[in-house]
Amino acid sequence: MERLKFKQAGAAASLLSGRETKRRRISRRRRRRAIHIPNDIVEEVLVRLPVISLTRFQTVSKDWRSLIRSRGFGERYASHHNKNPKLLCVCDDLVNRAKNTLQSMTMTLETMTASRDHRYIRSEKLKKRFTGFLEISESCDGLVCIYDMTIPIKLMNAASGKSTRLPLANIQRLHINHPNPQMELVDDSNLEPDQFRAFNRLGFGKDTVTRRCRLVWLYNKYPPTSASTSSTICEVLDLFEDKIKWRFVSTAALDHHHVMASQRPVFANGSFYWLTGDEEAYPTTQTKLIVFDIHTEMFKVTETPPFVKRDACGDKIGVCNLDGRLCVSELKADCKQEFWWRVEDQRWEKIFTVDLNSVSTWFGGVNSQPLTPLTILKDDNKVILSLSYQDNLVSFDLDPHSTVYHLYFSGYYGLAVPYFPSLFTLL
Amino acid sequence: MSKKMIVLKSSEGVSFVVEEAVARQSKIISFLVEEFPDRELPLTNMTSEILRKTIEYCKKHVVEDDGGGDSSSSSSGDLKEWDVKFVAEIDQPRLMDLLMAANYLDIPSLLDVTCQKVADTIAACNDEKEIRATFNIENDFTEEEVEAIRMENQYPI
Repeated sequence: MERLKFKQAGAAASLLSGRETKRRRISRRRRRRAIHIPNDIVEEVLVRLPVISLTRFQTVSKDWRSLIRSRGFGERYASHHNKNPKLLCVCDDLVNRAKNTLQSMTMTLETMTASRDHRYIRSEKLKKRFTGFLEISESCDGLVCIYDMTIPIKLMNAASGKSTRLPLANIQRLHINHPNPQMELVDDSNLEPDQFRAFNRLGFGKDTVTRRCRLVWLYNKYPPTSASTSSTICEVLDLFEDKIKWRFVSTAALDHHHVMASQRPVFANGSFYWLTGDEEAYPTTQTKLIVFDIHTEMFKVTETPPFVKRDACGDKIGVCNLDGRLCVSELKADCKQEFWWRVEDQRWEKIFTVDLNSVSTWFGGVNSQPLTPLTILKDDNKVILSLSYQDNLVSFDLDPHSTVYHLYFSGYYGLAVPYFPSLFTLL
Repeated sequence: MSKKMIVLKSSEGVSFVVEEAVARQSKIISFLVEEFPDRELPLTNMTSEILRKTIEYCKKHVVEDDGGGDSSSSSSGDLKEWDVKFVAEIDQPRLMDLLMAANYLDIPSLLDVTCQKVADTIAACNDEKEIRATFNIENDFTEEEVEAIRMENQYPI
């Protein structure tokens, strides 16, 4: 505030005295030399460029390059672009039917009226070294992890497509050494399935205290034992360290609880969240919430929020991050899914209810799996709903009296995750 | 009730009489009006043409604060459309002057639309040569340096 006053007073003094300022001299010279972007404006302009343009145009001049590569600019870029998320979709290449490629595309999510062509930002093929079930993590600082159980995680900047490989986690080594024909698409059908080994997914979040991005992989101990103190194992990897290495974190606080498979861990407000499952990682009716604080690295188990029925089965409960908040929903027996989000520590607010019978035509007739909201379009006051591996995205009016659903995007998208474009690990 | 008017003077000495609410979108003018009420404000580094354009923008964006909420003011969608048209009609050199005016007078929304327009122009360029030519930027890289940067940016698969 003080600085602003100072700046204004300075400007005022020069204005009223009519003194010719430096800016005036610049503007005179400019008129002779045709157009020119003044230095103090370059940053204002460049921060509004797409990531792809910035990577390409680093070679304009040394000034541009050092500005684009500076940490301060990276942070400014991230904060300028953290309002309207974009969507990253990863799917099999259905057009060319090529077995070894994946299609990755990004699209903007701004207005309903944008034509389909306008929405696409970038579409590319990824060489598919993945053999089993493919997953993408949530996005953190504009980065996402694309992975399966047997190959190194591909850490990708969603906006540029630039990527790097991370070292194998211990759980991945286990899968490589003991292939499970039910999970990996291996040809040898004579292999005995390793029982109880499920596809647990990877959490991705940022410690706002240390400003470090961290991957967290929580899975059930295999083979299950009753002797040890806890039934789960947790591996953590810190990105951008000198030596990137997976390490173990104690799960003693989780005691006998198991984590449910086939759920994407959710990161919101400094903690990761998982639902509990039974010892084979299947959903149970005694579902609880596992919470992991990314900064203190402490686990705890809590009850699900009060609006979720005590005997609700784990696969009827949806947990996600919606616009930065933890969002929990329950799909009830009448096919209505009620979404709540946490506005304060213990305070939950109901946001909307979706009748799955009304939208199931867009989701392959499925009305038994909870939908995942991807983001809220603030200008239109609509929420985008998705169901993995289905063809469509549906938008729903957030007006409490509305029951209007629209087809928002049609075309196979596979797996989708919202992200905010950033320049991190890009330059 | 008559609205309070203030006078802005361009570099050519042309006076513009503007409603105070319109001019106050500039944080600098807002400050000046409070510090020096009833004074003509000379804007010595703005031509009449640019000042007129700036005022045109501010008139469109002034928020009618009659307490009525969404009375006469345009919807945000219409306003966005108007902005796009507004900057589309201006040629490059004038756009740059307008951008400088927005920066100088501290009008955040005008700075945003003008910067976005320049950014769109840059993004539409085919290569760095076109950008250098459009904006008179000197190439201080050697060919080897450019090649090295390109290699760096090859994406690993």
